Amino acid sequence: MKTLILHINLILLPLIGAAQITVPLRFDRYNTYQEVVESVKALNKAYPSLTKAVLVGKSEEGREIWALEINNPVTGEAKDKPGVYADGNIHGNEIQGGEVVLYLADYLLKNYGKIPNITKIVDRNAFYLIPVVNVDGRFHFMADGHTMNSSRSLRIPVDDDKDGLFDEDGYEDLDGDGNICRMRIKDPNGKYRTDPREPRLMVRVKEGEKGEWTILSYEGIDNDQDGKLNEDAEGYVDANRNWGFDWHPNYVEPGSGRFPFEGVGLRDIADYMKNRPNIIVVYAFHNFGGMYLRGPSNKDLGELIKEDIAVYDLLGKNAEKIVPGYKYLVSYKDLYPTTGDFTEFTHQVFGAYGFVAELYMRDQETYVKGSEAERKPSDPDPDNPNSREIERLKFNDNLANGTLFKNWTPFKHPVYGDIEIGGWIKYSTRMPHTFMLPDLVHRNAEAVIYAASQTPEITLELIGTKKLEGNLYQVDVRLKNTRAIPSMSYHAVKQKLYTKDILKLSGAKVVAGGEITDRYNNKVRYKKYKPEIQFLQVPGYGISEFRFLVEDASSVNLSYESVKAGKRTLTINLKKT
Amino acid sequence: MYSEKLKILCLSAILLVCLNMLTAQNYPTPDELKTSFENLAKSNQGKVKIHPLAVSPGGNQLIVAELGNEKTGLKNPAIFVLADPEGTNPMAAYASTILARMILKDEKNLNFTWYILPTLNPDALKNYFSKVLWKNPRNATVFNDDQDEVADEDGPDDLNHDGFITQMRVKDPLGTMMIDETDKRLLRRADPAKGEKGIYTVYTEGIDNDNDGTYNEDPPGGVNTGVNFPHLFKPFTTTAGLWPGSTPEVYALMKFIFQRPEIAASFVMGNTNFCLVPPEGGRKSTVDYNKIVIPDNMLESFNAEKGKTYTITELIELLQPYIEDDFEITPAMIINVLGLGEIINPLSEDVTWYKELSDQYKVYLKKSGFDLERLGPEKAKDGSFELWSYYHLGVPAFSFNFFTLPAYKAEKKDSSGISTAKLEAMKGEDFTALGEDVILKILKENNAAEKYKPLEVIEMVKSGKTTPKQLSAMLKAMPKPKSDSTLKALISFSDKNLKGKGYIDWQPYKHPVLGDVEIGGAVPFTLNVPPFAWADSLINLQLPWIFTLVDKLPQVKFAKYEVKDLGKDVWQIEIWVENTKYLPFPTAMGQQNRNAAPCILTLEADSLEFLSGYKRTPVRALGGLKATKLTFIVRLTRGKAIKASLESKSMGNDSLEIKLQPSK
Repeated sequence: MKTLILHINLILLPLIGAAQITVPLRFDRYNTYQEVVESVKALNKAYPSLTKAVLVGKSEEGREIWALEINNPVTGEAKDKPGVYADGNIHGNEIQGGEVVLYLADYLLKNYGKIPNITKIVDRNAFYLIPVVNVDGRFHFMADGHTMNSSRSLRIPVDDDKDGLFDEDGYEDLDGDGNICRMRIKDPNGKYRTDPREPRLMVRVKEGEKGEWTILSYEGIDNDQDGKLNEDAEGYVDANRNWGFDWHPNYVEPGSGRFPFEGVGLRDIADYMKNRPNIIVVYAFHNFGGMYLRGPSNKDLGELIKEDIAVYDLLGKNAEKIVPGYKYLVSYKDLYPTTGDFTEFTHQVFGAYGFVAELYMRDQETYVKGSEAERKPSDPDPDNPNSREIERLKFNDNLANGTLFKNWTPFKHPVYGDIEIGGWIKYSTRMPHTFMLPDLVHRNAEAVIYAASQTPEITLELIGTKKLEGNLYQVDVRLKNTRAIPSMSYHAVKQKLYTKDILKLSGAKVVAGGEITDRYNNKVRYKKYKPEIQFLQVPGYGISEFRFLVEDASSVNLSYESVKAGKRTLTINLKKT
Repeated sequence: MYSEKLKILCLSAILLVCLNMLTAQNYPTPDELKTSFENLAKSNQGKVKIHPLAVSPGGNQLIVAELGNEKTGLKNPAIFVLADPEGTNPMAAYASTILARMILKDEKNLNFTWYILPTLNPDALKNYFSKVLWKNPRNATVFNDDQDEVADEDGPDDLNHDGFITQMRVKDPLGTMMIDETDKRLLRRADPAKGEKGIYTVYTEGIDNDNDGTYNEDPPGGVNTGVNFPHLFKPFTTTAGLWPGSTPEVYALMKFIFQRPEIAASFVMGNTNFCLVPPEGGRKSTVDYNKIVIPDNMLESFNAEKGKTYTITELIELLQPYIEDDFEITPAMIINVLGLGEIINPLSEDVTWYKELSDQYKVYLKKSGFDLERLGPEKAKDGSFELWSYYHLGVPAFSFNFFTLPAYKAEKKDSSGISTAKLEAMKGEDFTALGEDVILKILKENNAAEKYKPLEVIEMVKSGKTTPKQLSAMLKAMPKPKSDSTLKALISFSDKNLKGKGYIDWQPYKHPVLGDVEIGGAVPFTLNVPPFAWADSLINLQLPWIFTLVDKLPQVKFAKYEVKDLGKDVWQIEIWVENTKYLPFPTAMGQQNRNAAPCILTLEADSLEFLSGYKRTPVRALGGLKATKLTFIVRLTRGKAIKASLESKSMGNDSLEIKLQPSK
């Protein structure tokens, strides 16, 4: 009997701790790493004809990185459609990015065939969705004790304090509550005292004031006994500084790793994207700040080409309206310069328009009435440096029932003796309370849906044919893009990242062929060699027209092939015209 | 009985391979290199082992041979030797096998662990052994150079079936080249300003396979492994690769090296020569970490003064009072926030020892009877392993090129007869004694600018404003009509040493598209690969310098210690730790990039209590032949001893027993 119970328990064991994942997915909670993987698989299982669950690679600690691909094979192969890529949680602590990407997948799939707009983009685009890039980071952030800022790194050991030991002095969750909070100790000579307005907060003492507290750092002990606390925690290799474009070493870009793609999972993702050259827009969800950022990420790279900026402007300004309070900004000048980051890499190397979305909802963490609720708490009151913190505590008390802030609690520290542990918990500050999550994920997913709707839609149409003397036919055709994003970025054209779109005429000998530069004045830029093959780009909302002079034939075939904008064919019967 | 036979058979097979190597008539192929090292491992068990490194896009297995002492190996500093980074230098690849034998000859060489990679680009090296000789540094990655509908479809063709890809010249009204009057086999660019008109256009030998009007613009292959490293990587070029480390050979190599912090120096055998010509400076850069000017919009944040210059340490000191107590500002943060960028010129402290060692090497070569009047080595390319080793790894990076052509000496009777090398070694009075006419010739021969007049130069030397050595450096830096002098050297070498086989004289050929053309020019590889019969002596003459350099790598030792009795079992201990060798730990560049594993001083004893200092103390830098003093205050019962140890990945180890009794 005992054996049987043990057996049953063992079978049930894997289910304990992980919520049962059902489709449609829930967005009133944060998923663990395992639940994210289960969610990808559950969506794939629920929508087998529209999705593929693809194992992209593995992390430093061997965790699997999964992508969910959405494509309707009835309307064509994924590689022949403009690809939309979204990922989240490249920084291990920025977990809600994962929820946005899962929501996007869930929303597209559950509304396919129900909402015409969604049906259209699912039929027209291929989606490549990687909810969690830094799988180790997410796993540890949720499973272990952390601050809201830690478990951010890739799990590549780094000797941060240059003492010959690696990752030997990280935080300790001394009170075992799953959070790494602040430690403070009573100290009449300390630099801080209790804030008279809010006893849970402290203020710096001014000249002549008596101190009350010394802040000791975050929870932990000096594991390597070098007189410093928590100075060599996991990593640090920043997964968003380790990509292979404009990469610079650690001494210039902290956390960039020792060489590009030292992060094995990142390298797997780069290979994954390289094998899906149709990806034309990229969204990477981070937290926090409320921003949609475009490149350049570093001023040395120079400004982007103006036609490409126009695309970013369209998508970025739209995102500002979709997500209230968010700003569309240029990464290097409006935020700070970075190198070796992901979206710069996708823009520069793959020619895919890339946004970093910095998720944020703190402006909505309010407990004030009426018009005051619209006040931006950006500038704290100089006389009351804690004004914003006091407001957040009210939010914590009245809307989160005190779950976001750990009240100062006495603790016996092995070295410092009597101390107190308290402060904001890891699920606060950088991410919204779960009751606000549905709003966050929907609005930001809509920013991607809009971008998908603007990916190139090319038509190949006949302008006209004309019989010329000497058994020659003149065939004029037009490629037309009915969307805002060009068939390839201007950067890709300039740097020759890959073969331009190809327009090929077959079925007759082509005597001459070229781009019509001025149809009304009959001007054509004839191509000197191989006139039957033309190379081109179709601008956003633009056209590209070609003329072929062909020898007598009953019909000719035209084929258009674009790396990112799909394929089109057209058969023209010359004898009918 | 059977096994005995098998053993004999195996031994015979190995012997046969060895004999083959001994009697080889040509440089080893990538496969032969691999076999050669595998055999070396078989016959030197416990000393040589083979690490598989990566498989190239062309399916070739790259290996790294590890030579060392199995018993002490783990504790020994290591040397990394990369032969043939581009796959274009079979002689350098061959030199790796000679080096391995040299190392094994002397047991003391095994105080270091040696990692030898015989070629980083076996795909490209195979070109040297193909039926048609063509120098192509690309591995087998497919790359669509001309961005058309097909990749790798338009490479050169051996039209006249002579086994070489040379050049085609065709008479063309738009041509820019003309026959060089000094040697009719050579072409040179016509100078319209001097009333010259070009008559030839020159192409690489081949046809326009893809009929797009351009010749040989999409040859087979993709990445040159020799320029796929991250330092100054050049994106958007045809051979650099999609990103640094995009090709598996390079990625695996970077990983291999970073996994081995014991690597204390890197050596390249290829086309550059850092032993002779230190890494080049003078790149345009605004980066000087010792003279940082804070931009106006950040003055307030840094609490800095307008126009004043700061060092990084000074800036950290300015900021620290305003930062929370538990947050440490690092130099990298300052560099990052101010967008200062990477260091791209060798740091002056490093240039000092590079130059000194270069001077010593020249003396060494002269003593060995090696003719220094050769064409210079290639400059290290952006994205090269050489630059990466110095700038990103931060180790002393040396390189050898074993062969360049003897410098062309004009055989005209009115030649000055004074090369820049000769000039460099001259004393001031000997130089001025040459007289105006000869000095004029020297200036002209080296393309000196018009403004340099013999009389003025003599005056400058006499007055001490300049020396013949400085003058020689100045003349070397003068822009030269490079192709001309190189080709002249080549043709002269070919005539004298190769019975003219290094340069094909122009032969008429009926080209399917261009019509009447002539095919001829330099035979591929003549420039950097001598006949195989020369290889051993050239390598044996130059390569042993590697052991002299290795002997200069930093080594950490305890120099001395002093103990002071402070009473009541409290002691002050002073320990001097020294680097007994010439080269610093790490290089100045290594101090910037902070990649070197620190040397750790550990003090241990039962019940040892530290009042000042810690049990483990990192020593992060030690200049060449310099010492540093570390002071501790400890409490321990009188008469007891403390075990002190120094552990360094790249500088060796040392230990010491400190007796707690006052020093005399």
